[in-house]
Amino acid sequence: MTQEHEIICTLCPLACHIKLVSEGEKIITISDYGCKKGKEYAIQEFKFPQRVLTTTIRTSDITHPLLSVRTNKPISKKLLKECMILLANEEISPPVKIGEVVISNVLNTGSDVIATQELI
Amino acid sequence: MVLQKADLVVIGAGPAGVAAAIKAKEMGVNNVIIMERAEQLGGLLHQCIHNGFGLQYFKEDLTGPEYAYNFIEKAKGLGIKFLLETMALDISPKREITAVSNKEGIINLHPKAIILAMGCRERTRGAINIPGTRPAGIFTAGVAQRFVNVEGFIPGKKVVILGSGDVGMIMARRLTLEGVKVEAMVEILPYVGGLIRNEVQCIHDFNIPLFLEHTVVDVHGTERVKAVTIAKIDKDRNPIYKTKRKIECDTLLLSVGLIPENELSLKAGIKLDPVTGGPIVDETMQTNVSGIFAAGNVVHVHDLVDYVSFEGELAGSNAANYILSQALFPKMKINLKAGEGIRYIVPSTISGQKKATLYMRVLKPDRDVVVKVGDDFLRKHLPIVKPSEMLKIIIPLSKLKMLKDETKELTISCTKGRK
Ligand SMILES: Cc1cc2nc3c(=O)[nH]c(=O)nc-3n(C[C@H](O)[C@H](O)[C@H](O)COP(=O)(O)OP(=O)(O)OC[C@H]3O[C@@H](n4cnc5c(N)ncnc54)[C@H](O)[C@@H]3O)c2cc1C
Ligand code: SF4
Repeated sequence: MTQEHEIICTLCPLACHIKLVSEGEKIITISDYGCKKGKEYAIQEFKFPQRVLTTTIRTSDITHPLLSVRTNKPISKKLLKECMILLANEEISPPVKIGEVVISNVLNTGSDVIATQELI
Repeated sequence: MVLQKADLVVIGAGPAGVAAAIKAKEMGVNNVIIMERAEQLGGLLHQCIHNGFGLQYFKEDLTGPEYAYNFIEKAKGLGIKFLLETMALDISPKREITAVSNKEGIINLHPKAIILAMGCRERTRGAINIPGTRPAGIFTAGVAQRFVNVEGFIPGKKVVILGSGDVGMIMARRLTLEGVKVEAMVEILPYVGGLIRNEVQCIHDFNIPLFLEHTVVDVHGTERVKAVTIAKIDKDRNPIYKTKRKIECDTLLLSVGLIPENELSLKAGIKLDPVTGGPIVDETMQTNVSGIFAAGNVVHVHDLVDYVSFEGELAGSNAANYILSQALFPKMKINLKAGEGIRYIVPSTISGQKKATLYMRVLKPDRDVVVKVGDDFLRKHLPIVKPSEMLKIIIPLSKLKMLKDETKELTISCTKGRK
């Protein structure tokens, strides 16, 4: 059974609606992409969609109750929720430098959670 | 009452103000002060913890706080003075500023030049006349963003978002990740208001129900929002009542546009553009009041912060020129007029003696259009345009030199076509 997917390319403002036909995990055809980069994007989005997670972690500082953080590399889209739950149980104390690793290799993704603010 | 000495005062420490101050200082202005009513620097970027900032400016994908940090550190290193928790209350046409500070009380300043960088604020329920009861639980998306990202609480558990601007979409994702149920995003236009990347990564990724050409026609609940009723709209934007549906929720977020914050500008005698809501500026970002410049969202609402920084730098360098050598200022000779398909253009006048960078917005989304400057002076084919994405057109000096001396006006239009 083949399945048709529509993937909107976000790499440039043209926002091509790329058509991808698959059979199980296998890609049969890709069409309607405006350029090669978009084709690669569609393959990536089909096989292993990834996103940078940006969120906050609780701090022990009552005047700044939250510290903003992000993953330093994109992680699997499927793991976003799990990562949120993991971070919900963390608490951090000052001082924290901007860019400092807060959790390394989060959920074995090879990506670190880093601070995007400083906490003095 | 304290009289502070300054050559240049920048009002607002958002990305526009900080970039402007850095530039002016680098160009040799001695005494630069930035005045900010909040307790921290960075303006709105502070609460925009998502990524997508800096792709143009730093060629890097940064979050709002990281983007702001780069500029703030630089400003501190240059010895720019910050007055935090200080709000400008009044500016006279002679550039006298009255401000009030938590620490020092009333402060008076009389700098050689001023840069306005007050940003914008969100339109509220009152601005768009939503019918229904007045319960608690109705917030603007930006206020909700502050609650969730800075203060640490969620605005509610079941949310409907009216409007599909970028802030609204970003909040739809943020709230979903925090365990809130986003029941619907409702947009009156037939297309999403914000960037495509946000539509994919915030709405599609999380399967948020999107109702285009719909609006909120009723709000229910007395103490707290209990539900909202939405309906499809017809060609004239009137609700079609038989399409009504009630959605249970405890919170309604509004993401229905931003308005430049210009009460101060009016007091200084600055003329505003009725379309943008911001000061009318020339190519140097100077307003009609000599020595008062403006940049960023206070002039027109930007979708990308990178352009805000560029605009800040432009205002900063020209304010520095104004302070250091007033004589260098060229006369503005050519008016720019928004023609067919164009909503507005910034700046409104150019000298014709320098390369001109024009920022503009189109009226409606379209594919394959031609942007024309003058009758047939310059034309550019664009494969796609959208009102939510600002257009940037550069007129090179070599082109401007070809203009006839008596040219007083250039009309810019955007019409269908390929060449
Ligand atoms: C809620 C919200 C979310 C946004 N999210 C994004 C986003 O995700 N990505 C993006 O690229 N853009 C975003 N924008 C657009 C964003 O506003 C601009 O990119 C950028 O922040 C504009 O910079 P600015 O310096 O012009 O204004 P601002 O960042 O708004 O800074 C203006 C500053 O002036 C201060 N001020 C105002 N009046 C006075 C006064 N009288 N005295 C002293 N200080 C004063 C304010 O406190 C504020 O700090 C968002 C806008 C809003 C409203
Ligand atoms: S496929 Fe190429 S042209 Fe089309 S949106 Fe993606 S990057 Fe742009």
